[in-house]
This record gives sequence, C-alpha cells and structure tokens, in this order.
Amino acid sequence: MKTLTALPCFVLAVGMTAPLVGQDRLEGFLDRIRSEDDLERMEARKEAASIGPRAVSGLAKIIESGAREPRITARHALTVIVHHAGRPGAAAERAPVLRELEKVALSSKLPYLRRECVWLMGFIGGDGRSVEVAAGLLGDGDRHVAENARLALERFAGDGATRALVAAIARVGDDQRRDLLYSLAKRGDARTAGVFVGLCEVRSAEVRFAALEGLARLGSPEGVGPLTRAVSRADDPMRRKLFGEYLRLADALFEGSDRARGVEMYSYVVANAPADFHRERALHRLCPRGDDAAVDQLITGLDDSSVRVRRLAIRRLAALEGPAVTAALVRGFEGAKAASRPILLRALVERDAVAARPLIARAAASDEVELRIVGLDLGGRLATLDMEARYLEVAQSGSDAVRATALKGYVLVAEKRLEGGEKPRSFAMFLKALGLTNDATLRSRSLRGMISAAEPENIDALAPFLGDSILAVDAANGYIALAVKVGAGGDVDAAEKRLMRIATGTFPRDVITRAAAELRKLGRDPQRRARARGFVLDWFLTGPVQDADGQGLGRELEPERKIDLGKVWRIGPRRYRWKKLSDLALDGRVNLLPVFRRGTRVLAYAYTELDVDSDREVLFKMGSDDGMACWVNGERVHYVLAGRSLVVDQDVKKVKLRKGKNRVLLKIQQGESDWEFALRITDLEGEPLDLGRN
Amino acid sequence: MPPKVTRRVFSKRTFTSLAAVAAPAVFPKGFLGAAAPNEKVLTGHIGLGGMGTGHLNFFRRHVGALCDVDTTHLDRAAKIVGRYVPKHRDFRALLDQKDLDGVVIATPDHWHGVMAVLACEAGKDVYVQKPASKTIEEGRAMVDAAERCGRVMQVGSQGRSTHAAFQSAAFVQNGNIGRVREVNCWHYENPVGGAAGVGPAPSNLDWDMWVGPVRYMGYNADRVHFNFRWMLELGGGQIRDRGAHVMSCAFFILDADQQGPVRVEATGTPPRKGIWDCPTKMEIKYVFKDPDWTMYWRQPGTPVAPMQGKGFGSQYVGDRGSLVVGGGDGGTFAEARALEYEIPAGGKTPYRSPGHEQNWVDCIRSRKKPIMTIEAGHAVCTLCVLGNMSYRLGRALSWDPEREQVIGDEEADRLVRRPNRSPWRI
Repeated sequence: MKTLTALPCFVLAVGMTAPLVGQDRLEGFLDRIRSEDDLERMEARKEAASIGPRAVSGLAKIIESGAREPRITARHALTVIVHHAGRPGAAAERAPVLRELEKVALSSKLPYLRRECVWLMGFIGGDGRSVEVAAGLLGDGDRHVAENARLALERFAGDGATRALVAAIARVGDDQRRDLLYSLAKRGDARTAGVFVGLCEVRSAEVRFAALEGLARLGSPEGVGPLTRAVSRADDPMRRKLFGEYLRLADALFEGSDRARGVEMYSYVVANAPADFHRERALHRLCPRGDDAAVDQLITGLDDSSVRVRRLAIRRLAALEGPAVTAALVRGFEGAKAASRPILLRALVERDAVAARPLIARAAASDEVELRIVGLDLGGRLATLDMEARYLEVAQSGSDAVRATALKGYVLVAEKRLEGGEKPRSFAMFLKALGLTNDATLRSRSLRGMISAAEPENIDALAPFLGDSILAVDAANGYIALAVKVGAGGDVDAAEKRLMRIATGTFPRDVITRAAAELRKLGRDPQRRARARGFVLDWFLTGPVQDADGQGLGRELEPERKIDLGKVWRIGPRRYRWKKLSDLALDGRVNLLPVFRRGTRVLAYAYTELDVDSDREVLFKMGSDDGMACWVNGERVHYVLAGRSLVVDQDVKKVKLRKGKNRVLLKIQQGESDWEFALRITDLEGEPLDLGRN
Repeated sequence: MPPKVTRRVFSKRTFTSLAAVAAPAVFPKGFLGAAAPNEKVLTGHIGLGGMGTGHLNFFRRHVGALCDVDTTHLDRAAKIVGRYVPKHRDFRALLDQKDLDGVVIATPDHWHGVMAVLACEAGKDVYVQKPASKTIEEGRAMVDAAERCGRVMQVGSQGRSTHAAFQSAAFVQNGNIGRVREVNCWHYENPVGGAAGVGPAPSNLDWDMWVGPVRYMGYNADRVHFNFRWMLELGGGQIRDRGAHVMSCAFFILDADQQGPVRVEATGTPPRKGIWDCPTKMEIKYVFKDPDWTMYWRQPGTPVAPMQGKGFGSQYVGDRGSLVVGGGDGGTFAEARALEYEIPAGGKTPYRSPGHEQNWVDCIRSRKKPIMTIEAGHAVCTLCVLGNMSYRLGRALSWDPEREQVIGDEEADRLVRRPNRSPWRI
C-alpha cells in the first residue's frame, strides 16, 4: 500500500479547530458504540454529531477490530458526523472532520476503512489537503480504494480537484487514465478541453476513446475536428461507438452554442453512420416533429436501407401539415429512386388522397413492379389474378416496404381462386404464403384459407401449425374438422391418431374437449390409452389457495381433515368449492393452469376414490410440478417440497389399499410457470391397474 | 370465401386480425410510420429475479433474449420462456442484439439508469422498473437519453394502468372533492436485519457485475437479490419501492407530473441493528407551490377508512371532500363512488392504459407517449430520493424543481449526483 506522509501541520490544524469535547464524554460515547446492547448503541449514534471529529479515530478503531454490530453502528456514526459537518453554515467544522478522515484513509491497514473514509471525504471535501490526500490515494495498492479516490475527486467542489485530475492523468497508466478522463469530463470544466485534445491520437484505443468521449461530454467545439477524423476512419473497430460520441457532441452543439454545426454533424451521421439506430437518432434530432423545413431531409431518409429509419421519416412526414409539404412529396415522388416511390406514394395518400389519385393510377400501370403493386393496392385492385407470379416474386425477394403488400395480394388471389373452386391450387398458395411471413394477420388469414381449401388427405400439412403460438388454436380446430372427415371416410384408426394428438396436446380446454367428443362419436375412448397405462384420470379439484411463503405444502388445511365434495370450505373470507373435471387428463398428466388460471405461489387439492375388491398393496407412481403431498385414507404417504418439472413416475411409493372405497387426496404446489401432476397405479410387478373411476 | 370450420373458440384476436386485413386499401393515417399493430415486438429482459420473471408472464411471446448476472435466475427464466432464446450474463451483449425492439429492465435500482441510457443509445425502447433511478442526476440523464434518441421509455409504476387509478383520477380531476390541498400516504415500516460480514460470492453469481456502477462492496447474501431494497445506497427502502407506486398514483390522480416540491423534510428512526440501514419509521413532508399542496409520506401511517385493511395507500383531501385510494401498485383500490363515477360530457379524461406492459408495447408500435413516461418516472423518483436525502442529512431541503438543485446546501446538492464506478457511465 502506498500512503502519503501525514504532515505535522495538519495534525496541528486538527488540534486547533476541532470542537472541544471532553475526553470522558468521548470515551463514554465510544463505549456505548461498542455496546452489545442495540438500544444503547442507537442512543449513542444520535450523539455522534455533537461529538464530531474527535470521535473519528475511535470509530475507525471499532470498525477495524470491534464486534459485528458495533462495527455497523460505528460506520453509521461516521456518516452522521460527516453529514452534520456538511450542513449549511458549518464550513468551519468541515476541515477538522476531513483531517481526521484523511488520517484514517492514509494510515489504516484495512482497505475497507480506507475506502470508506475517502468515500465520505467526497461529501464535504475539496480543500487543498483533501484533494492532495485523495490524489495520493489514486495510487493505493487496493484498487477499490484507488477507485473511491477517483470518485471523491470527481465529486469534490472547487478547481483543486480539477487540477489534481489533470496532473494525475499525466502520470498514471492507461487503464486508470481512461477513468480519470471520464471524471475530468464529468466535472464539466470547458477549460480542460486541451487535455482531451492532446490525447485524441495516442496509441491506446481505450485512452483515445476516453479522450474523444470526454470532448463530447464537455460539448466542446474543439472536439468536432478530432471526432470527425475518428468516425471517418472506416477501419476503426471502435467506429460504431465513436459515432455515439459524435452524436453526443452534436446534441450539445445543437442545443447550445452552435446549432448550425450540430445540424451539419447530424447530416453527416444520417449519410455515413453504419448503425441504423445512429442514423435514426440523427434524423430524429434533425427533423423534429412538425418542422416542415426538414421535409427534403425526410424524403432522403426514405431511401435509407433500414426500415427503422424509413419508418421515422414517414412518421415525421405524416406529421407535417400544409400544401407545401404535399407539393414536396409530389416533387419527391417524381425525383425519387424506384425503391422510395412506393413509400412516398403511401405517404402522399395518407396526407392528401385527392392529390394522390392521379399518381395512384399511374402507379397501377407502372412498369416498376413494386410501384405497380402499391398502386393496385391503393386503388383497391390487389386481387388481380394475372399478378400472381409477380406477387410471389416480390413477396419472396422484394423490398421491405412492398413485400407485405405483395404477399397480401398473393393471398387475395388465392382466395379468389378458392372462390372459383380451384381448391388444390389455392391450398398450395396459402401454404406458400404461410411460409413467407411472420405477420400474424396474414398468417391467420392464410391458415383459414388453407383449412377451407383442404381435403382430408391434406390433414398432415396442418400439423406444423399446431405448435405455432398464434395459429395453434385455429390449426387445431381445422385439424379436428379434417380428422372427422378422415373418420367419416372410413379410416377410423387414422382419425383417432390425429384426434388424440389434439386431445393430449397443450391446447385450450374447449379444443381438447371437442377432440375428445369427436373421438367418442367415432366410438373411441379418448382416455383408453392412459387408463391402460394405469393413470388415474378423474379428479375432483379445489383451489387455488395462496402460498406466499412457499411453505403451504406442509400447512394443514380443511381438505386434509375432512372432505365433503358437495360443500364449500373456507379460509377466512375466501370460499372454495370442489369441482369435477373430466377430459382434463387425456394423456394422464393433469394440467392445473387452465383450471385455476392463477399461476404463481398457490396450492390446489385433487381428490379421487379408488375401488378395490380386496386388500392389496399397489405402487403409486406420481409426479408433479412443483411439490406434492399424497394422503391415502387420511394417512400421508408421500411428501416432496421442491421446485421441479413433472416427470411421469418420478416418485414411487408402495401403498396399502383396503377392500372397497379408498380415498386419495393430493396437494399440488405451484411456484411459477407450469403446474401439473400425474398419478399412475400399478401392481408390485409394475403391471398397470385401472382403478380410478369416479 | 369464409371458412367452413365451426369455431366457437375462435379468439377475439383472430377477429381483430381479420378486420385488419379486410381494411380499405387506403391505409389509415399513421399506418406507415408505425409498426403494424400486430407486428411482433421483440424484447430483451435484463434482471430476472422476482419482478423480472413476473414480467415474463406478459412478455413470454415477445421474449428475444434473457440476461442476468445470476445463472440460476437465467436458467429459471429460460424454463419459463420454454423455447430457445439467447441468454447473456452481460447486458451489453444483449444490447448488441440487433433484432430486439426493446428491453425490460428489472434489475436492482442501482443499475436502472446506466442500463436505460445505454439501451436508448443502442436504439432500444425501454421498460424500466420503478423507482426510475438511484440519483436525480441519473434520472435526468434517462429523460435526456429518451428524448435525444427518440425512444419510448415506460417506468414500471403499474398502478397508473389500473382501472381504480383511472377512475380515481377522473373523479378528482373533474372536481368531485374540490381543489386538493393535502395528500396523506401511508405504508408499513422497513424491516430490521442483515448480518454483517463479507465472503466469496457463489459461483452462479457475477458479483462484480451485480455491484456495477455503485462503489465497490464485498459480497454478502443479505445485500443481494431482494435484500438490496433495505440498503439506503442501493434500494432505499419502502419510500423508493412502494413510494414510487403510491406517489406515482398521487401525481397521476392530481395530474401533477410536471410539478416538483419546493421543500422536503424527513425524519426517521434508524434500525437498531443489522446492515440494512433504511429507517424503520419515517415521515416526510413535501411542499408544492403553484398550485399549493402538501404531501405526507408516513411509515407507518394510519390507513384511512374504507381502506383500513390495506398496508399502504393514499388519501386525497380537497376543499370539498376527500378520497381514499388503497394500494398503488398492481393492486390499486378505489372507493365505490370513484369506481362508479362516469365522466360527464366535456369532462376531463385521464390517460387510459390497457395494462402497463401492453401500453408500452402499443407505444413501441405507435411511437406515442406511454402512461408512465420517464419524465413522470423521474419526477416521482425525485420525491423518493429527496426524502431519503433529507433523512440521511438530518435536515430539511429547499429544492428548485426547475434546475433540480438543492438551494443553499452545498453538501446536499452533491448528493443529487453520485459518481459511478468504472467503467459504468451515464
């Protein structure tokens, strides 16, 4: 650890300026801070302000070697002393407190304490000695102490800290120099711009960047040259970050001393920045909402390669008012690149549909395919059959701005073909459209078309959409309808296979219920397979009960004492009913989320009765997400408190069943996310038993 | 041709979508400049503790990236999302993901400012949890960043988006209790605790990154995750946690987002032991001018009828009556007369939000202002910060809300800003 030599004159100064506090009082105070009694320490802490600087070294000793709680109180007491000395009108009290803090910061062997003291100095320091000490601690062997010294210098009042930072920048290594440059910039002294300019071309990329960043943060016009040179180097790996700083400086100049220079810099960014969000940001500043002086710049923005920049340009154009803007848009349309003309045409229609009418007519007959598509769309003639191939081509590889319109046209043509009875062709078109867009509206519409055009033999083409987060429900309903047709055509096994896929999938309950109903109509039991594996499928459920602390699994509630399925049970004012739910667990896993909806930190009970012909031992193979408990005939046979995912058969317990009716109660805990359980019963050899029918 | 499939379950969503496709060929004004109404908004989630995972319930379909300095949080969140998304431990990698439209920041408070500013500068829209920032300077930097970069920033004081807050605001702003002179907020106390000492951080946690922009401190389990809330320098206690909800509702109900206090005076009782240093009891008086009114934060305070059962809430005292609002966060409760109130023709209609997160997503698409802009979030957070500052310093503060300066108190004015540890900058 490097330390500065404490100067005798400062010790003398402390002695001269510290408030006179009797030694007895000071010792008494420190004794009470050391006390194991919480209340006594609290009372002592209140006194810290009046004791003042003379308590600092004693408190520091407690922090260094005291017991745990007194250490905490001593640190708080130090803070109280500092803040008290910092109050308005108490300038004379600050120096003695600072001198004491400095002594500890320079002498303590405990890095934490040195760190703490220099941090506290930051609240009230800034005079010559505190600056000198903090600057010295920049070289402390503990990097956290050195860092806190930098933070103190950044915070200190007065020019002394600025000068100290400038001096330190000249002597420290590159790593620390980077941070000191930042602190110097944060102090906001424009006179220090030269320090940064001098480091704009050094070898260390980090320091160079910090110097340029500093100039930007200072808002210094002296930064324009170095930053412009820096961002113009196309091969600079930090170029993107540098554009951020270039924009920072542009903002400062635009809002401050040199608006014209700011405009110039923004224009440079719009034309040259590699990152689209930088170009967007510059355009945002350059063309404030409603400023019609910016119309030409906005029209240029329509040619940007990034959709986010084009969108901004269009938004701002749409916000402009007046005939001059309309005229500028028409002018822009005539002179624009082919790629921009569709966008400009749309912008014009948004603003002035009448003025746009002749342009729409021209566009609809244009040789430029994309413009023609937009013209047809705006003219309400998108469902033009002979455009089918063009639509597909543009939808696959056209510009961002027109691709969606082309696909919309393609879907409209497919619908027209469907109306004309061309089912196979339209089916293929809808399927193709689904593969070309993520747009929910078009996908939904295409899927509907596809379902309408589908023949039973097309059923498996719907399968990929059963897992689509947006289309799943529609796809499932279409799948059910086609499966019914497959069954009606005589292939009941194939229909059952498809319907079971829905019935055991993760779909809304009414979709599952419908699939189950269709299976029954076909004479197939939707629960057959699960029962054959021994799953218990019919349950009475009640809940959800709040489980805020996650310990409710072990807390006894009424269903564990008595079950009356016909009656309401209560916890305080809340009422709970038992409800029977069939078709809930067609694959054996009972998903509780659709039943109870509320999905975090809750519990639910599931109850069923098992009939057996004679006393026997069986295996209960259980699983749950999250924890679970199980009672058989009132006796708890299983308990697992865990946040886990359900795995079928993850817990196996040997259970004795009595002849006749056996009561089985499960309690299922829910932390978050999925919430489900499963119970399968087998004999002791693992052979499934079908016992559970309520 | 309409499909033949019977679809009782056909969702409202689908009907809405179809209506959009069937719209006239000429697009409505604004269509082009905004993302299409149902265009997917992709979000990156930074901070996946309690609040962060809570957000996933809404954003599950939007999630495009996850980030946390604690891998157990990260893995748990990935399980909730249930499909592959990139996972990061360093949020800067997430900000580099070009496909993300916005970021949801639900880290401890001391990270909000740095992350939000860097997110804006990376071209992302931002949903940042409340309280907006750790210092007033940082909050101002967030406001400036959103404006400079043209970003949509929503602060997570979701009480404003509740029906109860809307009805209460309509009730009060249409003069039903006259001019409001006093707002009384109540909340229960801060806890006492936290064992002293430091040790090695668990391997799942990147401790240096967790500490981030605040001055270095050693690892202590009683500081991390939700416990940060009870450290003045990190979370700042109930005044910053629930205060940022309750006072957000107060500003919303009074339509006072543009106002700031001119005087703040706090008193409090420090905890008798433990490292958690937020005052257990606290009372703060905020004085506002033009219009003149006073707000009190009492911790604990006395719940006012008919909201006696609520642990926190606020009472609005006007010159023609009063209104009590329970809660203030996601659970906000209004009196029946406010809930049943119908805004008369020509009456004032407050901002109506479809839900706090949905409102942000809608605004990303429309580029309109959300209900809890960063300007409002900063104004509310300023109250919380000034309250704690006054308590720490042990004196009242005179505040210039225009310049955001403490008047006549140089030390207090230094606390308006707090230097950040390297390399974190705003």
